[in-house]
Amino acid sequence: MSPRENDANIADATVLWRAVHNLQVYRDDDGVERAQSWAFESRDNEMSAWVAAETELGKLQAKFPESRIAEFTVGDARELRNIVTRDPVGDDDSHVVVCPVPGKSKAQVKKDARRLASKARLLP
Amino acid sequence: MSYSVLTPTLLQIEKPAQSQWSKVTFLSAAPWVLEALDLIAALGNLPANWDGYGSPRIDIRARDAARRFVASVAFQNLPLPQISPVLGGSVGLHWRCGDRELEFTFQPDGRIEFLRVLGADLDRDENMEQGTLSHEPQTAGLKLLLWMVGAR
Repeated sequence: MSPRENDANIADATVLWRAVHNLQVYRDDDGVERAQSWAFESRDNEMSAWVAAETELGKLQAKFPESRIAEFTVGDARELRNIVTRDPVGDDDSHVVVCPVPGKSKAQVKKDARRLASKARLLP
Repeated sequence: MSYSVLTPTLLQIEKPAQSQWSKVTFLSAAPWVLEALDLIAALGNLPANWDGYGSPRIDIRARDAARRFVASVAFQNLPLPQISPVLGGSVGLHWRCGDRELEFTFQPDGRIEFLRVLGADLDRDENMEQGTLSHEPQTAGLKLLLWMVGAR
């Protein structure tokens, strides 16, 4: 597969949603629910997310019934040296993938998954 | 905190020299251990595609490795870790103690990966360390846990 290229047409302020399995959610000491870093990893270095403004929360929740929805911005992902690009699936044009920049080490990918988990906010 | 606070209490019996028929004085596990073992076992009930992203079922080798690890660090002073399914059929254990965190990921192929986090400032790269427990993983994991609880 050819390397993904960052889509500059997707603004940093764009809000993304990602489904996080219920068992990858924990309550922190401060009482706030957070997603585990594992929820922001992918086997093929292409993490699925959806542009919030282009989909519906209920639709995503129906697609992932055992999950919560985590919200973060494209800028959050890019600050961690990730590429964000569109990846339509079927008739769903809101689907994007978040990929590490080429050459990022496995260790750095793991650390950045932890960082993104801390930036993400779980929706009620 | 000293090492003494982490004295194993999973199985404490009278010394063998006393008598083979001596009764067991007490048999106790740290309160969190049995719950952790059950939670890890329950991950085996998750179906394929449990996460909606095509992950396989949680591999029995990963579950067994996680259970062995938990049994090997069954100390009273550790809290119950957060136990999570991980993509690829793996098992994740996440401990947090103050501003220190440890994540262990048990892979189906036997690898145990860890992420050590110190402090809330995740932007500092030196505050995080990622690696693999390759040699005597349970001892290496124990050392990381001792670090987390502040033992020196």
